[in-house]
Amino acid sequence: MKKMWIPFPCALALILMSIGTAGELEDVIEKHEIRQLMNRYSLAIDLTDPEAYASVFTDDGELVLAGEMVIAKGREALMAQAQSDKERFNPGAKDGTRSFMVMRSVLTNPVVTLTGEDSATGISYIQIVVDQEGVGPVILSQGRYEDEYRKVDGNWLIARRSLFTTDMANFEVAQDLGLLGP
Amino acid sequence: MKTIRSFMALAAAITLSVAIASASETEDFADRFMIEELMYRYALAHDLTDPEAYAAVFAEDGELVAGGIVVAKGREALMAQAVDDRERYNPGARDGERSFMVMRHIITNPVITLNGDGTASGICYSQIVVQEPGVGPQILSQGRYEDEYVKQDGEWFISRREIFIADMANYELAAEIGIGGQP
Repeated sequence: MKKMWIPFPCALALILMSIGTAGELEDVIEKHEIRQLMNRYSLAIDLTDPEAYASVFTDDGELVLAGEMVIAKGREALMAQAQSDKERFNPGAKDGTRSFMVMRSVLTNPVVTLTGEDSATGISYIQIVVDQEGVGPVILSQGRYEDEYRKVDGNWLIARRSLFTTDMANFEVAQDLGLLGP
Repeated sequence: MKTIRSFMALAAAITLSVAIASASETEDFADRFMIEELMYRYALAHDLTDPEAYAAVFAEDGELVAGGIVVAKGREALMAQAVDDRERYNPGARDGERSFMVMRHIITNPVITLNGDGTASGICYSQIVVQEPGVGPQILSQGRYEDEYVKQDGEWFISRREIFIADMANYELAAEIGIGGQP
């Protein structure tokens, strides 16, 4: 019986070491999943796909303007928001067809901070590119998203996304393309 | 003693199942990471107009599609395509020299779907930046790639890449810098 105690500290050290590495790797996996979430948001908004758009948020997910004004809260309101985007920014799209709208949301610089087992915050930069008539693609705005995330049933979702899109914006181009408005 | 043994067996079973679950999660993550890198590797090979590196990101029977038409199929055709790109977009480059061409492909927004059978699909955005004389770097086009991938001998390759470049493109700028035609 005494013999069994000899390798015990070694085994314990190995277990603790493997837990340490596993924890680090797990964090990387969580961060990478949140990056995918950021990209799936951009794809859904550019495709003006209401279901795909609402599905990246938690049930009570919030879309906020400049950290202050709540534009939409909850999946139903978010879906309505995406539907309205579809009508405004992708007016030629037929129902149920896969089609890109007038803007492209170019996402870069994702920085994710894990704050708990099922919670995280993140910032990313968002460059909106549009096709200016007679010119070609130009930068409409260079902004950022500031987010809160929650892991629900093993999936990371956006609990709150605050849009800061007017830090740098070309309002003349927006006006020309009819993108300004309520 | 019997109780201790069955307790230990149970603990081992739990540990094993947790390990298996996290192993598949880890594998998925590794696959996504490698496919993302493949997207960037394609852009680097393209910008360096390096025919070998370009063909190497594709599967043996890999396809490049543009405007719904297969532009090149198979590594030999893909290499020929890259040689042609080198002559058009990097005319000053000497044979075998490492040199960047006139365009830079900025890859963003990767979204990858793993099919669980050694294949995957993905989308990424590709912004082409060029130097406009007297101005500086300008966006030539804002497009996207829609891909299919295959894992062979533990390595991911592009089995089909469809290029969507004409959604937003500055044709005047392309003509100005002498790269008219498909960018």
